Amino acid sequence: MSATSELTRPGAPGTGATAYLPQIEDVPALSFTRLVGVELRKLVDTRTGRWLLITILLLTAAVMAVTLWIGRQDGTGLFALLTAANIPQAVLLPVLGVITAANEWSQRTALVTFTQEPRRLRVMGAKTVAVVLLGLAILLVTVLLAVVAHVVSMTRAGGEVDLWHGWSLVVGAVVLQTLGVLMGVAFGTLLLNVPLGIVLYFLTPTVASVLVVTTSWLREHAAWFELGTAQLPLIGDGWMTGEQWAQLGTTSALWIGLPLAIGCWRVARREVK
Amino acid sequence: MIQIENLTKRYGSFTAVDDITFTARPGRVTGFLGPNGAGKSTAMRMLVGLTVPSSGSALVLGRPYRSLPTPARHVGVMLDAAAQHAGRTGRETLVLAAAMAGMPRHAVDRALERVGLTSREAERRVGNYSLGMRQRLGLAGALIGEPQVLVLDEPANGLDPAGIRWMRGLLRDFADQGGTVLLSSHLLHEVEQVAHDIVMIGGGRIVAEGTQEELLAGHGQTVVGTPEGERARLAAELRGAGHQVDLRGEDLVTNATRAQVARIALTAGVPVTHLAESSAGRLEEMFLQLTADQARQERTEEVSA
Repeated sequence: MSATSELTRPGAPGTGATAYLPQIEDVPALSFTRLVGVELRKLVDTRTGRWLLITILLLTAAVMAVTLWIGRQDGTGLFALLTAANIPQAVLLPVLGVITAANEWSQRTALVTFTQEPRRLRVMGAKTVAVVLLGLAILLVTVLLAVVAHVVSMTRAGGEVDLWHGWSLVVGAVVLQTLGVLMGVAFGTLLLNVPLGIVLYFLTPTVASVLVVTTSWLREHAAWFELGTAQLPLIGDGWMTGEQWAQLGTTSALWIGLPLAIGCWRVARREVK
Repeated sequence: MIQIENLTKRYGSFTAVDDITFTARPGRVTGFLGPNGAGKSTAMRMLVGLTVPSSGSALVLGRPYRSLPTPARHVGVMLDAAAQHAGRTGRETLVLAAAMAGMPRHAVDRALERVGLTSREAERRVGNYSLGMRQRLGLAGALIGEPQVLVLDEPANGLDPAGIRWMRGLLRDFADQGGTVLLSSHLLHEVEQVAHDIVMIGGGRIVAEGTQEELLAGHGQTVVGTPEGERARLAAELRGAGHQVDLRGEDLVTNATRAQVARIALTAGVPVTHLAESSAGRLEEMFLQLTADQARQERTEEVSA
């Protein structure tokens, strides 16, 4: 038949040489792994995405440099370096989350993405996984940087190199980083608008904190619904208590689970134009 | 194959798409024609699952678009060439599209070649593209999965005449090889040039539907040109002979045949500068009517707003 025609793919599965085009059944469904790969790529293939990552790493390095300089006499501990590194990252990683979740609506590429994969919540799932993976990769780089900085600092100051602070800190750091990114994703998904998402991400918890501080009953039970209070024990000494985990659970449900659920409901229903 | 049945979309009291039914067949280019705001884009968004219909159904390749396992592999869609991330290069945009369609990386080069974007152009950011280049890129994205169905909303927008001609060839070839093409346009001429079948929509409803030959046939109308001073006299003579006569621009349009007109003009001694079977038929009349209605409605809305 039209073996030379442009659209004919010789050896297409199923119907042999005369096959016109693949049968729907012969093409495997788009895998979630592939979707995550695409979303990871989207995080770094624009100038904005790349610069945001570079900024995060540069600020991390700068903050560590300052910490090293302050502790130049006695050498700087690994924990101090990591806590310092967390300051810019706690601010910027959620921004990355907001951008990931909301950018397609601002850029109108949602029109293309949700045509290529109409199961919209799968796409949102892939975006979430992708940005969490990126957040953890940044954490890994940060830890490596901190280790080098710590070793160099201690060698020069003649102090003792101490690289291990126990599993509780490892778990705490991973959970903290993941929750930060997820909260960004949740606010981005809720608002589906990058600037609005970023502003409210910063504003809402601040307003909530003010509310907590000024109301005595809230102040007493702050750990149950105030993020900062609930997350503090994550980087404390040793393992968190059951109650502390429960408090982390309720605050996360309130600040991450709820906006994410409402956001997903919006994404699934919203008309894409 | 695209089957649309009783598809309706209401926004509150406004009905954007009103109970439309039509089929776009393999091997044919189906032109979806209508003035701006007629409901074409809404109908196309419902077809690909971006908008939930109020009622009715749309099937692509026999199933709802949303239930295709890898839709981009079977259906190439371009709804808006401007909906691309300005910060990505053209090539990167296609790399993502290839991944979403489950195609290997070399599909990108093939698609670029097919739409005539050079590799240097492909390395530039989409933000620097002209509208014509974005249309080509959008079309490349639609073609990347080597689909059997193409759904294109106003694909000729922003293309220069050579580009429009090229697009026409590409779509005709695609259909000749058995593919289904559904394209929308607000320009009758554009649809006439490429479509085998035409579905005309106005105010959300289908107002005409059929093959190009059926719809563009002259319907026995004759266009007569006469010097200005003689026009009224010829019109009177034609009416006197029992024919209908309308004025269209500088010409008379009548339901008399060419031979009848020639005989009447000769007898009356009226010079005739041209005499032709009307190429513009019912469709053009209806289309002009629709466009005029739409414009009037918009004016009214503006005044009342």
